[in-house]
Amino acid sequence: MMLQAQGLSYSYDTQNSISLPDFQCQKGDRLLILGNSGSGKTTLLNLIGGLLRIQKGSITIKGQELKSLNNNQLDAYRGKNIGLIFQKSHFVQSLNVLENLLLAQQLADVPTDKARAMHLLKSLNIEDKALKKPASLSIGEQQRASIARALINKPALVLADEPTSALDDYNCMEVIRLLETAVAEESSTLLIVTHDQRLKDHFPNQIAL
Amino acid sequence: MFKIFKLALKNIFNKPLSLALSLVLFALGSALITALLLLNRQLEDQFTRNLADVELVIGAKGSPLQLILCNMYHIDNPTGNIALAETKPFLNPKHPLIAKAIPLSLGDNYKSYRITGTTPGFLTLYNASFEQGRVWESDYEVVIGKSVADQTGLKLGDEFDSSHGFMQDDDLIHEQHIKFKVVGILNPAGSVIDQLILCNSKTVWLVHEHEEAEETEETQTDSNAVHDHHHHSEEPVNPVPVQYTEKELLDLHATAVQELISNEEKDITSILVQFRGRNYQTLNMQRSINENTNLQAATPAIEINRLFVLMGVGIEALRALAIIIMIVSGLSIFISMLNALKERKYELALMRAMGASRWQLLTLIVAEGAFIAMVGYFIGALLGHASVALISGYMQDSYRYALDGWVFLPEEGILLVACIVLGKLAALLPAIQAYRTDIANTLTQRG
Repeated sequence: MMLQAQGLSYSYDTQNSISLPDFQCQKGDRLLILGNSGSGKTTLLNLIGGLLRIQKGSITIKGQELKSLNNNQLDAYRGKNIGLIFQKSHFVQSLNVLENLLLAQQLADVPTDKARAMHLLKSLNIEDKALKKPASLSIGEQQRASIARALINKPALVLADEPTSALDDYNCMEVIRLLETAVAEESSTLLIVTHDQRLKDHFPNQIAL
Repeated sequence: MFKIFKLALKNIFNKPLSLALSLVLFALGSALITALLLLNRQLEDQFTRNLADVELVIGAKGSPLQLILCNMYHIDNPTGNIALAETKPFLNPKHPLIAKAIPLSLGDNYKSYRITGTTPGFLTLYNASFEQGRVWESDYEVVIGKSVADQTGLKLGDEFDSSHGFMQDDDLIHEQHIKFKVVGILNPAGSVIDQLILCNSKTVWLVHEHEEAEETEETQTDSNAVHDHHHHSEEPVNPVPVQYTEKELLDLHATAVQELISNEEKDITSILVQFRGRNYQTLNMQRSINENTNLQAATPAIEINRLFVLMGVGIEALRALAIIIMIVSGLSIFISMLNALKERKYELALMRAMGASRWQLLTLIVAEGAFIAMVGYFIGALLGHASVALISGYMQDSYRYALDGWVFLPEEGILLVACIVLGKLAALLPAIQAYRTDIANTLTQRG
């Protein structure tokens, strides 16, 4: 069992509490979590990614109960095992694309591997942008660079938060195709949280919130 | 940790404009403080070194500080002249309290280096030794300090005319029938003697009598002066330095003093006194000179302390200004970091998401502040030293005192540490904000 969520609910304030469905997935699965605004899909992603602490229920990744980790352990665990892709790509602006990938390795205490970083950039067709500052890349290129960064540490689990909603149709399909190929190459599990209906036909494995 | 420091460096250079502002302010502050430290220390050192164990200066009535500045440091004008008849008792080698009494006669300069009529005993005050040549033996022979030799280009055997007064003035150059002749050059002593041209007192009198004679009646030649012209030797001076023992110099001094006091009608400028020992009698002597004679006696150490207190006020004010500039520069680091944090919160949250701990972010921001402060300090220190070197050039031109801009003081290390602490403090609040970054809310829009 790769990922198991059970009895999760989360409240941002005292009045409203969001209950989240139980689910599980196996290694190599691709799961699409669909939902409209307010359905709690981003909360779910934040809980699985360890960006929010679990209030009620439990999440187990590769047999590791997330609740039992303290803050620093959680940071380290996330760096090593979970690759994150966000709706809007963010980078460390003072570093170029390649250095941003290497920083992800350094922060996760993984030895830096330039060859691997270049290989990932090549498979995402942005090899020529390696030495450019992220701000000079187009939105589609930035999203591909953040896919490369999410995969650099060979994470067991890749979490993507609305990865395509800022992209046009062409770039949307291109990014999804590249994402799937790259994830397959690393045999990681992929979890996409989105309300983007364009992805619906692409992933048979879905959960609706 | 290393990677965090490297990233901190890359980050501060990524925003060149705000970096430049903080650096300029920081550099200004530390430059000012560095320069003040250097000036203060070196002036004090110079003044203290030039005290030369002289315990009393006897001269004409007037400002005691002026008496000291003129006769010990050679930067002010004399308070007046004193008659040899009146000062004779102090020059007596058998005086019960006085170990050494060195007469000085001031009045002329060469390219604004002072020509000082004195006795060879003056050399013993500053432990001067000869680099070339020998001590003056007859009238118009001079021994020059090392700075005089370096700055004017005067060499052994060179002859020159003097100029009246203490500042170079082409209109006041004495057209002498007889020129001064360099017979000795001193080794550098690091004190005021490096800036002086030394000769016997009689030479100073001769130059001035000659001048007066010319003024009163052009045609009438002064028999005394003309007579002396013939004493002047035309032989070349042996450049091999003569090494005198203190005793030899003091013997020469004793002879010179005997000759001097035979001219009772003449004036000198002052007498520098070293006592045999300090006691109530020496204190009484100073008081009794000031109360019962037309002379004035002043203690160099006391007057110089007064001067330091006066200068201290100005230096304190400048130091306060420098500290204010430093604080403003700290504020500028603080504000620019806080501003940058608004756009940087995404990358900081991202770093957290990639596995960086809260402490690593705190370290990153604090390190950025410390680096800016450090770079600013080093630019400032360089500026400070360079400006002291510049001031030194100016001081040498107008006061004949040299400072060294490239001396490094232990206090500068303390200043560096203080700067780094200030940089860290300025970055602390932004760093705490970075520490508290809410990654989930920053990176994802709840929906």
